[in-house]
Amino acid sequence: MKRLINAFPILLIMLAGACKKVVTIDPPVNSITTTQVFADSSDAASAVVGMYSSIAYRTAGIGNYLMTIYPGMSSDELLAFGSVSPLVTNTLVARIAITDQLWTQSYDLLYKPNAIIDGLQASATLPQTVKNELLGEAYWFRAFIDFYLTNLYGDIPLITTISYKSNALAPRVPAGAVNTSIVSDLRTAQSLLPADYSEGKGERVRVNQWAATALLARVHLYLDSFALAESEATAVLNRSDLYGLDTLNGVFLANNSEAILQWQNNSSANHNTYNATEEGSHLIPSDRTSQPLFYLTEELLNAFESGDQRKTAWLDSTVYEGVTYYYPFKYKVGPTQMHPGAPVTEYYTVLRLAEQYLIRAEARAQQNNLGGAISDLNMIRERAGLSDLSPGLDQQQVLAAVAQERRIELFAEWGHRWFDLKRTNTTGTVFSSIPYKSEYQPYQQLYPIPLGELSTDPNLTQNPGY
Amino acid sequence: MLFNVDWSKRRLLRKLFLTMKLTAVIFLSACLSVSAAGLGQKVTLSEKNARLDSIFHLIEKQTGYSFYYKVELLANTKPVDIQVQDASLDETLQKLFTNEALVYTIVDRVIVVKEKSPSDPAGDVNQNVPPHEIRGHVTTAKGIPLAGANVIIKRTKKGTQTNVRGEFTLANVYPDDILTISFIGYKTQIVKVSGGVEFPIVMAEATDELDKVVVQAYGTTTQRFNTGNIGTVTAAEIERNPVMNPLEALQGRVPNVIVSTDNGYASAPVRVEIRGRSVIDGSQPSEPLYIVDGVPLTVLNLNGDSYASGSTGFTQGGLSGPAAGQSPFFSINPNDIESITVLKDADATAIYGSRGANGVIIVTTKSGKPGKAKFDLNVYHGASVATGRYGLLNTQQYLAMRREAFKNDQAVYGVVPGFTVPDAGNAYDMVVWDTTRYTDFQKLYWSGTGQITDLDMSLSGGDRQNTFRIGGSYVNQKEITSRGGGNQRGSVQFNYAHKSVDQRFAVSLTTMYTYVSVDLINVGGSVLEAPDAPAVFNSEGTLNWAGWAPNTGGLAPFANLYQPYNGKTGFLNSSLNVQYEILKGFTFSTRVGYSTSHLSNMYLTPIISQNPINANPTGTSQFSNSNSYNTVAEPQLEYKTLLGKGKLSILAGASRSAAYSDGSSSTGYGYQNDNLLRSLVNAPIKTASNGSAQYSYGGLFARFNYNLGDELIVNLSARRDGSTRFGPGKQYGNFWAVGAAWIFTEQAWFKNHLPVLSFGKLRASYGLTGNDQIANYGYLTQWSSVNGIPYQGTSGYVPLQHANPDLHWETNKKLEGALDLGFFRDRLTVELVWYQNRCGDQLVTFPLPMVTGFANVFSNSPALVQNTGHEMTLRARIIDHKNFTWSAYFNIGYNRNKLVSYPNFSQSPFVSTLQIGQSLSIRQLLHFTGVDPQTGQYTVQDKNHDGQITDYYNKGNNDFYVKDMAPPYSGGFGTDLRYKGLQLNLFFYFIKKLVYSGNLNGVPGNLEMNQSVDVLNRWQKPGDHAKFARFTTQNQASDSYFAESDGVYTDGSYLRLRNASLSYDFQAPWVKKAGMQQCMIYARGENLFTLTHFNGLDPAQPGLGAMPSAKTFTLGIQLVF
Repeated sequence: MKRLINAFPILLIMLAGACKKVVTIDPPVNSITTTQVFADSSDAASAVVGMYSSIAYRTAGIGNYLMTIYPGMSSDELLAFGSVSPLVTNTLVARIAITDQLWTQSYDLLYKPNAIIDGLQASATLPQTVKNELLGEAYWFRAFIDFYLTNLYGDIPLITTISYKSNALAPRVPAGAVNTSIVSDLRTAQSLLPADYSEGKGERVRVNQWAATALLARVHLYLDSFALAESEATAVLNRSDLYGLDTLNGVFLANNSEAILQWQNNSSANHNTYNATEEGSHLIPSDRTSQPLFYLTEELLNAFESGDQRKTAWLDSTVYEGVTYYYPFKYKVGPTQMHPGAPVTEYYTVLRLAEQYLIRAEARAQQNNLGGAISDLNMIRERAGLSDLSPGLDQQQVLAAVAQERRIELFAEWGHRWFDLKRTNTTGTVFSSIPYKSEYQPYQQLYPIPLGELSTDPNLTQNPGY
Repeated sequence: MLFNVDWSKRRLLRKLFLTMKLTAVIFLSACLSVSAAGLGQKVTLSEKNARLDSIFHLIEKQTGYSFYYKVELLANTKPVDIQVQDASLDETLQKLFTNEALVYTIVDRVIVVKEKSPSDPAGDVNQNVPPHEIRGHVTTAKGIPLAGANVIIKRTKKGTQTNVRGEFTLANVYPDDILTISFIGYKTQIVKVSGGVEFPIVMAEATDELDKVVVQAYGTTTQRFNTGNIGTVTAAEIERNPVMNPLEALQGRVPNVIVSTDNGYASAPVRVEIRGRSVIDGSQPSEPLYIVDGVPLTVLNLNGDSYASGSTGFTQGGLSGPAAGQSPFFSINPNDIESITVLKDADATAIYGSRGANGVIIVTTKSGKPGKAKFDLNVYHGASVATGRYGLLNTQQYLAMRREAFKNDQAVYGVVPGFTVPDAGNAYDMVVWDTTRYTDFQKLYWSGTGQITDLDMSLSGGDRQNTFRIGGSYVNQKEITSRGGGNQRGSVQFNYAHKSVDQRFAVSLTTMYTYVSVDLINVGGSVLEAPDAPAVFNSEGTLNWAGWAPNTGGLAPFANLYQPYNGKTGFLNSSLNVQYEILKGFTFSTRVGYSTSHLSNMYLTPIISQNPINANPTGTSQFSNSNSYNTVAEPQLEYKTLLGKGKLSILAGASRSAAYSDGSSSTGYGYQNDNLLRSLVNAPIKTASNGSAQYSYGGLFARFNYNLGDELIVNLSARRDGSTRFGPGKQYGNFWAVGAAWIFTEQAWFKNHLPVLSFGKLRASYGLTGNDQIANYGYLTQWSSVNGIPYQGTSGYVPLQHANPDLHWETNKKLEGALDLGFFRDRLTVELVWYQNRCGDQLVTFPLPMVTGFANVFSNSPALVQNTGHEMTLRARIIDHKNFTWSAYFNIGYNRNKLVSYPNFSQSPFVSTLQIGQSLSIRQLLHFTGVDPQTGQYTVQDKNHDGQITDYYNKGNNDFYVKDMAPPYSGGFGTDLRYKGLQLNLFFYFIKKLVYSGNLNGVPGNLEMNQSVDVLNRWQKPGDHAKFARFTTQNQASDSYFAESDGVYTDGSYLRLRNASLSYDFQAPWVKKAGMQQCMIYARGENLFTLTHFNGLDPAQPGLGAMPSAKTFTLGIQLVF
């Protein structure tokens, strides 16, 4: 018996040797590791493409539809049919998490450029030229997302790494520091990106040097760096070989001459909206007697000058229960035309040349180059079928004209109106005459930080007032 | 005749002693064999000069008892005369043996006749008489030898074990020695040597709770001798529940085992939590390890980070359907289950080391028994209905509420068009819809009657060498919802066991195969829809989209009626066990097990289910496949011997288990025609995805068990395991446990002074168990093209998770102490348990702020969580008579959960939701202080008196109170009554808990939200003292404060008659004439009534409008041939 007892440990040791081998498994079949992704050019390029598909094909995303409707309601552009949204009355509360998606989606997207920058910089095998182009796109994406985050939320955690251990404790940094980072990222992107559309095989659907420059022009304008805003806008506007104002009905078509950056669409793969854009599929009612989801405010409708062709080209209406509702009609492929595999005519426009004219006009007006400003404004007015501005306007009048032109040209696009009201400190004045905004208070200019974020990040603080 | 007057004094005395001894033997027999209550059998004999064996034969004929004796024993007996009339068996036997040198004992309908001992029956062993060698043979009542039975001399506490043929020899035995013969699962026999040499010992199977076989990790034990915490639910208890998922039968049966489902579908995943929540991540269930016939039932989760919402069970391909998954146990026929064993403490679970942290549930299926082949047929049919209906507002009341809400709003905000004035947008229920309509949505949804039909058959039997069981079943069940689907399950179970003639080699195979078909329709709409809502169907019988405008969203849930879900599952579980006794006491065995499941499911979204006004609606079809495979191989060596004054058993083994799952799903979009939906080829746009996961663990384990004189038992177990859930360097973990028990009633003091206490055991255990239940590949960085839509023809990669290379084993330290008591010859048993589990290094989906890019990471949490509790189990056989038995049982489990420590808590994501020293299930709630009689708004307490309500995320000084939502206790009790063939079983379940109020549906007055009639007690004008605030269409801060207050929680404790069963077993002669062994009819019911103070309909499904539990009635018949 003793011998048998002695045999046990020996047996256990024998089995222990075999044990090492039993606990091994194959790597997952449906994923690859970071090291593998950045080992060769095509995988690394796929990672960058992943940023585009994540932002372009997200239903109700910050990159396409939410940035139209939420700021549209917060400002004075849109109303939701059938209910009074706290966005419309500017009575957001943190508890009712309406705007939380903007935050969570943004940081979900932001991880991707950070991971790509990290992976590309660590890669020893990728050729420098490939690295540069891909890095440029990643830096642009990071700046682009940070831009919307800081303009929506103010001070935000500035995330530039993928380390969850430190990022989980990230505090908010002042918007100024965020803007410095945005400018720096865009400058880096400018220097790395190609000046043509070679990356997108001729389609205007990949970020190039001009997308970086155009966004940089806007950032400088927002930061009141008017000279820089003007020079960056001019750099884009000077590329008349690539860009020119298109017709009103052509502005949102795929690869039109005004487009600086668009999100590509593919009707035989995009099973959400097929050949339509997210915007077209939501904002256009299914017929002329159906209720719209969102409709234009009286204020915006009344702001169109008479004879403005944009009112007919970019607006449409429906009559429901005897009431006429106007809705944005910039994207014209709506539910009735949506069809799998149908030819794609529209791409979702991210940056377009008209905004560059308006940026330069404002920058010039601020620098007292009123003539230059008016001539830029007239470019936009002429296309809308409006008469030229009088050359004798003073600076305040030109700035007012810029604001008016921006309001009409850029309505229901990317929250321009909301940001313009905020950065020009005109929210209170504008809202004072709107009855349903009587409860507006200045703290509502920033959206509340999602409660889930506050509870999981111990160093995060709520925006004041919420 | 008993006393002969001629006898000398001495003779008289001897006779007296003999009588006493006989009485003692009889008494002992009565004690040991409750089922041998046949002492009441009447015998009539009138024989003269008859041979003993012929009289034996007559007695056998009249009583059905059989005699067991050595033929040579009767060689020296003389013919006898006997005359008895309607005498009891005992009387007859006493009379018969009066003048014979024979004694008898009755063991389980066997009368064992032995030589009478010539020695003095009283006093200690007379060592002046020379010792001698004895031989014996231990068998079951059916004559099957018992190998490894312990034969112990009581005096020395030493002895021997029987060999494979059940034989033993013992030297140096004195004529006065007493032998105790024991074997797991059999009643221990006490035999006086009385100078005898040959001992045929027939062991009776134990029927009492203490000595019945219970399944433990890698083996069996009894409640008497085990050192750990093992709870068992028997076949009889499971069978009485007319449920398709056997896990549901566990509810209330074992203390501190909480069984819950997320939805009412029969196939839905079932969560089992043993002894409280141990992980800080509340969304992650603390699932125990499931083992079916020795094979771990592991389903790897493929759906990315979906583990947070619990396992979807067998549906891993990406399509989980209306029931949010499918429970693996839905594929196991409850009638094939012999027992479900729940292992709770470290001693019981540590040998499963790697995965025992959350407890272990062992399912053992039925096997054949030696004896005449038995054909068992069992059929039942049942119906179920909703337990009740909510009292909701009718159309008039609803519209009055809406109008009042607008009126109230105008008083606050003024008359603002589009805001406080009803129009087509904000009040289409008042302006657009036909306000004279009324629809009882509860009737519409729940008017169906659920049906269940179950047919079970089995054939079993065998002989000394071979036993078998073949079982087959078919169940057809229809869900309770009006247009719900149905489930069908067919299963076969097969068990075969063989033992060689010399009994040294044994092999057994158990296989079960089940086919399940699930048809579900998600009647997802709400019964709280506006009661004046338009008709669901138009005159053509299709969905009334036009009528529901402008809110076609309200009709959308009804579209599910046209969106069928179908899943088909095959499940195979097979286990082969080979055993060989190499040397006496030294056994090698190997279990090889395999289980596999294949599920293919489909979900269609046809054009007819979509609103035609969304121009060009197209059909969508989803197809998914999920496969999972589990293999396990466990070679083991076991050595059993007697060592010193005790019994030693050592088990050592290795375990290699591997699991593989894969899943794929394909979706077809853009179908132009519903007829083509079932074929992907016709889809203009197709997307597909697939995934697979592998998991393997390997380990070594050993168990050392020493039982000293059946009084002191020590159990040590240890295990070393490796798991692929962890990255390089982190794969291995060591686990161990120590358990000890002291059966103090073996002490003479208790026997002499407290005879009422028939059994008393103190036991304690401490150990370390582990857990690796976290998603696969959590330690790796992963990139994948997930959204399936290529950009410019290229599929983009996106990162899937934060990689955490530091992932390592979770550890759970468990301490337990228990006192087991038996009173009145164990007719009342009490088990009292105290435990403390401390779980550290918890594997969780650790919540992160989204700023990190993902909402969580698979991680070990630094939290230390403690569960302490008490459990009590009582069992009583109150009346135990041949014709009338009454037994009762009761159990209750208390559990207290506490976050003990958390390093650097202020920098953790839990800082605003949890508190150190408090339960993990706390909610921070404002204190509701009633409706303000002036404003009609809810008020809450400003606890910190800062003049405003400060939110909980304002760290520190806020207005919130802590309330624990975890149920403090739950349990069950039942009673079994039998009078002759009539049997009544009742089982009650109770739980104490707080639940969300049963009469609230948001803020009353809002569009398209019907309410409980309770809200009519609302504020209307200044000065009103009301229970509910004013009606409004505009939710205000006070409404959201109320929603965060203790005002929305209510007592949801309840006591429910879970299960009642009334059966009648025809014991009439015609049953035998018809060739049957048994004919039984029965009626059973589930959820028959509930006692509660809850303010809603069903405290088990508390939310207003939630589908209430079903009440089920069944009728059935069981025939055994």
